[in-house]
Amino acid sequence: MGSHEAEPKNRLRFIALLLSAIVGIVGFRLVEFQVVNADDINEISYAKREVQRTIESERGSILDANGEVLARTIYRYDINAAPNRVGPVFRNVEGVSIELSVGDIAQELAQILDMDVNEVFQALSGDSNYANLKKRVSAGVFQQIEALNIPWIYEDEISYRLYPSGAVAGNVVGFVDVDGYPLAGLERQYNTCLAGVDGQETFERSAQGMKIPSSAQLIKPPVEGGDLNLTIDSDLQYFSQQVLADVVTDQNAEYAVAVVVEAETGKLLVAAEAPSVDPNDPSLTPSQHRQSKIFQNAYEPGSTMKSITTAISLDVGDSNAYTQIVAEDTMRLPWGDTIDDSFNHDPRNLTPAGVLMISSNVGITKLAGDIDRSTRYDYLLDFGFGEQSAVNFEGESSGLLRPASQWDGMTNLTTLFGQGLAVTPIQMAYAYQAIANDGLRLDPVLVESCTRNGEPTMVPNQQSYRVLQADTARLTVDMMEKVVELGGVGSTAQIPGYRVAGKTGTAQIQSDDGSGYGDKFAISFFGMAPAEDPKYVVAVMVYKPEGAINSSGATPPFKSIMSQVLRHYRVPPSTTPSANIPTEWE
Amino acid sequence: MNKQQARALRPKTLVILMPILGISLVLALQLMLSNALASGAHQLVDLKNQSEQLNTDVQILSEEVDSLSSQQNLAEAAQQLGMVSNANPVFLNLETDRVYGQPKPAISEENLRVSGNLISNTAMTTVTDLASLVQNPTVGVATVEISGGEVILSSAMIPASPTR
Repeated sequence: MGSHEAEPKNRLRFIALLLSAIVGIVGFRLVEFQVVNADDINEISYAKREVQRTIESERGSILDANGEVLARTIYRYDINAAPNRVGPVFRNVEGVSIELSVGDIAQELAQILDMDVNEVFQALSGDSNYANLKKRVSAGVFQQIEALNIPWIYEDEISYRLYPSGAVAGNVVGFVDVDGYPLAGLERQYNTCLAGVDGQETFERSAQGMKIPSSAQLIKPPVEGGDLNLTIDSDLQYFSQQVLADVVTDQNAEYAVAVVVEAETGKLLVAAEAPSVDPNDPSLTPSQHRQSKIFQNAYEPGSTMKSITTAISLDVGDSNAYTQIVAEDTMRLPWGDTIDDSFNHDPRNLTPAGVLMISSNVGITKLAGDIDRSTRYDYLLDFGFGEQSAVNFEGESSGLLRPASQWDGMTNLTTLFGQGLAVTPIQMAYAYQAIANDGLRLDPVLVESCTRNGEPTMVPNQQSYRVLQADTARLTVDMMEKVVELGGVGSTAQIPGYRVAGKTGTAQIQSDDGSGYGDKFAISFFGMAPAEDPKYVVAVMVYKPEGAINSSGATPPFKSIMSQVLRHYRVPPSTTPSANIPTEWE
Repeated sequence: MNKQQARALRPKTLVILMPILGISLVLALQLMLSNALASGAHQLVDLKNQSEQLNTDVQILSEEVDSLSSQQNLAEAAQQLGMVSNANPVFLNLETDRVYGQPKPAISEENLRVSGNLISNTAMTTVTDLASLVQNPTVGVATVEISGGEVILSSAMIPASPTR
């Protein structure tokens, strides 16, 4: 009896022992996994699930003076397929599931992607898991492809630079390559402002490769690029480019440029060129026209330099409004060379205003030829010639101004009327800005600021330079007004209702073989309005127009652009007559 | 062992049921939680898809707006509607009633004022649909009844435009 009673108890004890042992082992392993080796196991597991991803930062926008977008970042899409998974697709059409063959789908894809159906078929064949069908399609096309809901088609989102205004200010704005790398213009020069800093995140992936919701961890937040705010007015810029495009076509010129400057602030409102480049597709434009000639091309300015020379002569006290000059049409120099006017005429009794009005080379030589060359050289430096402008544009030319010590006798005189030195259109425009702004030259401003999250991170450090006394500058403007009021070609720059001052330029161009001046010219007109208190400077230069013998091809575009500028900025018409200064003497 | 002793040794029903009920409760809660999580995840994915869809819509529309508001499209549309820019604007000085400039017909050949677009823009993928504007000229234009008569300026010479 006793052994019968002991049997269940033993069994119970055995089971309890066994259970305890099992629980003990499980508990031990549990502690080992959860406590002792927990960190290592977690690390191995996380490494298998974890995926790192770069969060692309968005490149900033380029905006004009009114906040209009000239460049911004959008997205384009690469449409890809996994050929090793290509097969029929079931689609629900009005509640009925229908099977679409690969052929049907290829037809649909070809139609949406604007491709040949055989091309699509070729891309879908094979056993790889990647084949690109089309690169950089628009969001609209992407949406249509997504709506097809094909499991073996997938899309990659790619950052893309859009220039909504096309070639408007394209030569200044510049462009980027297909990978978003800046290649030219402000895109390249201000890359540190525009480019952001990519961020990084990690997330966990399931065994099926799907992202586990809420598992994302931001390791490094992206820093978005800044916005570049320009002084360019895109509407005026467009208008000016239109005018120049017409000029280049009509005159069969190599190119034409126009600059509009706000005289009192030094802001560059227009930097127009023709031909111009559309940054959306620079390859459509020949490479020599993809840059900005306003900053990068130096040329011998010719007679537009006479205003500068006259101003210097007045400023050093060598002449005044009544200085008497007898200007023949030719002048023999002691060493045998001659200086000639561009047209034959009897000797004329001219004042400095008269010299400008008929653009006499002999007259300007007699007016300012005696000024000490180093003094004049210093003035030219003060006017901004011979060095890059403060814009410091990519590849900007400093022009060509040799030190006065290197000038020979002829160069000393030819520089008076714009030969023997080379300037960029921007340099000459700001020399005129100095005259328009009471003798105070301002650094050109093209970029107003770089802003990040609305806060400016960069503003230009604009400097001013006293080049002329205010009275001298005023008198120079009065004299230039006579060019437009009474001059021959200059009078075609008149704008009804406004007083306009300016100077023509018909500069000879060196022949390509270096044998001297050829038969082509760079014609220009640099002017300002309203002359009684100049607000805007407009400069137009047409390079190598066909058949031109004077600057009559440059005044109409000047007039067009200046009229538009005055109207655009609501400048009230002039109400006073021009200054009472003589152009000739008895 | 008698029956009473055997009954005493038998585990009580409540003791057996408690763990089972407990486990069932935990499993049920887990199931509910799992369902809620799955449903939340689906909702999250749906909302994310919706957000991406809306972002794409915004991009498509903003590109259309860019294209339509580009200077090139406006110039083309203006030209096709018969507009010609005038190089000879006339300015009126309301203070003195003086007229500046000589009014002339707007002829582009005379003053290099080009109305047709000459500036390329490959981003201009959408252009103004002039046909619909011509068929329905009031599309997008709100008309307002102007009350009151002619507005006379203080100088009493030039009647002001009723445009508000």
